[in-house]
Amino acid sequence: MAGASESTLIHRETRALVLLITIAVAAFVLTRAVAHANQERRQRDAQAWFARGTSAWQRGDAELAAQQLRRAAALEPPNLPVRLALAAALTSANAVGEARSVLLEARAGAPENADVSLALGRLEAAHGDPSATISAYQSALNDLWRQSDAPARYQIRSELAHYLLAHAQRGRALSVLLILTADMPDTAVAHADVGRMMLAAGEPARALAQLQQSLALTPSDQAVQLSAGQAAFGAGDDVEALGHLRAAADLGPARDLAAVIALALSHDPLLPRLTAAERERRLRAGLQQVKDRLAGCVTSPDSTPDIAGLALQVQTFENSLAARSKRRGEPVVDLIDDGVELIARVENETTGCGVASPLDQALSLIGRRHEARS
Amino acid sequence: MTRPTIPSLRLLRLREHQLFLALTVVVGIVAGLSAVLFSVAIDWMTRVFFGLEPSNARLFLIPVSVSLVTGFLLVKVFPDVRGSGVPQTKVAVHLHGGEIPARVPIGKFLTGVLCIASGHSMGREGPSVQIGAGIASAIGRWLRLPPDRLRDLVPVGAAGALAAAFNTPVAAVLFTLEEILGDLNASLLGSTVIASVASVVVERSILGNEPLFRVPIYHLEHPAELLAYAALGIVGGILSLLFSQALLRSRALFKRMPVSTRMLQPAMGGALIGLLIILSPAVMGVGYEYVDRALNGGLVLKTLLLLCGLKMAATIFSYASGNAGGIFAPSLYIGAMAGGALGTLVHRFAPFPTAEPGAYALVGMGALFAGIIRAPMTSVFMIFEITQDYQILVPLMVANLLSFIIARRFQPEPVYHALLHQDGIHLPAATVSGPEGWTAQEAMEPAPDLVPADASIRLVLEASRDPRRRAVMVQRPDALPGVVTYARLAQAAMAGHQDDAVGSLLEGDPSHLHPDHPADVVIERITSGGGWVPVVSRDDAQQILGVVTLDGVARALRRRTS
Repeated sequence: MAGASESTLIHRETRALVLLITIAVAAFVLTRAVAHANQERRQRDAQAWFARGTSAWQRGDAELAAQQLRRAAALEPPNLPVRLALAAALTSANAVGEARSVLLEARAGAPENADVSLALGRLEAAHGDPSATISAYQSALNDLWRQSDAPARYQIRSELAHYLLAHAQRGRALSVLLILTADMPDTAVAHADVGRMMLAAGEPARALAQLQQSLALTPSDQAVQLSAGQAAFGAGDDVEALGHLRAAADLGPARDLAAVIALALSHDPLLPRLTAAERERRLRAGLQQVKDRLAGCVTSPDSTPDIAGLALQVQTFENSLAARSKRRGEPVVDLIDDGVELIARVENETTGCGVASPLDQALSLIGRRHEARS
Repeated sequence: MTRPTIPSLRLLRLREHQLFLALTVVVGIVAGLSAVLFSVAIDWMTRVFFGLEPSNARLFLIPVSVSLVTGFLLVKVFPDVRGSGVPQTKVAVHLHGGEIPARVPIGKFLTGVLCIASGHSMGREGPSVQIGAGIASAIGRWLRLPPDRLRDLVPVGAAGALAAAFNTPVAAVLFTLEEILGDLNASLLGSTVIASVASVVVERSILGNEPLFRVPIYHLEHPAELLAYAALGIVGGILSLLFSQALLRSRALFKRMPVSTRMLQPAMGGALIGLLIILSPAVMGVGYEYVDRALNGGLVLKTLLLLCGLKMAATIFSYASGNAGGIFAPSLYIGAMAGGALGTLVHRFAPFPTAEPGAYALVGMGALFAGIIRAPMTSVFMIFEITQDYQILVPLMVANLLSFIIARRFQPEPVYHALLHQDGIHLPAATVSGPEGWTAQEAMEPAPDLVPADASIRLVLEASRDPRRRAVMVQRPDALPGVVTYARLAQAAMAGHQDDAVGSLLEGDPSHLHPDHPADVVIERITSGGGWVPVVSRDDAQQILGVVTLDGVARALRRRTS
């Protein structure tokens, strides 16, 4: 009897528990269905707010756009396009701190999303510090590892290189550019862009190679011709430089640079395959030019005692040159180097005496070139 | 029928324990589901009431009109579901043996959804606690659990519901122990943990793993920042006091209104809320979206200060007027805004490196919660669960402690207890275990004659016929009863005050006792009470159970020693 009542008790408890579990399961199914329906409704509302916010932003009302996009983001937090749009609107509305928080939050939820990292990189580039910018861009690059992502990688590296060059980080920019060249599209625009960046990074030879590839695709692009001329000039190949610059004759800077290069070529006494007489003639022409410049500087209100001293040095050198050439059979070639150096020094010291003429620029260039070679 | 044998009894006891364990899991799941459904229902109904972009007219009319409906429900249909739900759950556990009528969770669900979704500035956590507790009670009673088990199951349901409502399982357990049970060493620790875990698993399987707040990682930037956080703790304590006092006084104001207005009071609150949310829709409902923005530094100083003040006012109007909803979420909101405001100033003017204002908003949440709700351990763990960052713990503890100390110094009674006191309910103190000995129940004698407070002294003296009676019990509306001796009455009559009301002889709040008060409390109060102390019910302080006199104390002592 005791056993029977025990058994009854146990069966009653078991039945009750089974019933409770059944009710709990049914409640779970119902709750999940309701929650799912509510979630769909929230997503629809989020889309509505997203549309309104995007429209407001396109109209230029960044504050209203931010307000409406916040509503969208609150309704559907994991939606990345909404968060990216919100960050952009906040940045436009000068709420940079909040924009950063939105992007950091989005990245925490989707650490492998390149769009988020890129947006953060762009934000930091405009408003933050270089290390955060580089880190964000690197994250974006790390997220784009597929073959098909090559155009995106190029775009990101290109942006990063531009940023680094703008912040005088030429070494890092060059590293990025070297990687970029291995994975870049074969278009005239891309080659030209990379070439110009290489030139800004202090690699004229590599820049010239890129620009020549661009010109191979679009030979008539005068802007590229100008850049190629500058690159060739920077690499020391004046003849090539002149060629490119003359092809860009419609552009003022090209004409100016071409004129200087042409004058440098015609006034450099240390170029190879020149006769001794020609070297002496060029040197004397250079000395005359700096004498005229010094004469102008002496009368200038900014004249200093150094200017008078320089004028005396030039006169003394001219006298030595004249004396040497009078003594027949004595070469003046060994004085050419000293002469070129003196001319360059005079041009350097007289930069404050007014705008330098193309010939003055050419004489300074000659001096720098030869200083670099020695 | 033969009696069960001893081995069978042992087996039955084991099965009871196992049954309770199974129930803990089921209750945790069902309570968690109820909290999820409650939250979803509020969200949905908010959309139904206000649409996508409500007009000002709609912002005003919805709270008013819906509050007319809830006013009717709260007075006529579900009279036990006003307010937060946390104090009511405590009453059920400590005074009613865990008995919660089935209509309570149903009514709380319905009125809670209507109130919060219609814009009232209230939280959903308190109602979730009461709904979960009510479900647990209903299950326990259906299964005919023994009284002690029934009482134990109710906090389990509360913990499960809170864990799902706030997505913080550890904080839910701590809150249940710290606030509902009032004992961090409770034997129910294991059960509440199981229910909390089961609930959160269910909640996350439905709602996903999205955190309630998206909080950046904040650090203590410089040791001197602790001074700033200490200042936040002080500000938090002061604000907690202001809020609690304003809430209690406003509620007292509404309670003093004629009884005929009770059905309209929620709508009065609704009208005030309607005006406030026209001014700033950010203060309507729970408001976690704006807390999130404050935590991420998305609000400027002016906005933070404005929202702090408006939210305090809105919550006070909503709660004091008798709507159904909690103060858990508003405490966090006010704290986030206050913390964010202070953080903005510190970040701007401090001579040392400081964290972003969002860090201060985070710590501010904890400080206000500790000061208002008076659950400092829960506050620390809750913020930790939200951030999962140890580095913020030290500033949080500093601010919490200061806020808690300041709030308790100037208002010793926690707000939940004070709200119950306003309703004439006196909960036992947290540390119930007193010394072994006699209680007020044993020293109690039948109450003397009961007279209304406005009866004249002359009338009372003339009406007294029994020479053995030495005192009368004076019944006062809205106050504790008091005892006046005939000697005192005679003295007053001889002094020419025979026409004065007998209630005028009672000064201030007279001493009182409850039947379970231990001996030391009885002796202390009878000394200060002039030898006569009324014994009243904890459930209803107006209900007089008896009186304790010096003679009664002596008899109780003799019984104990004999």
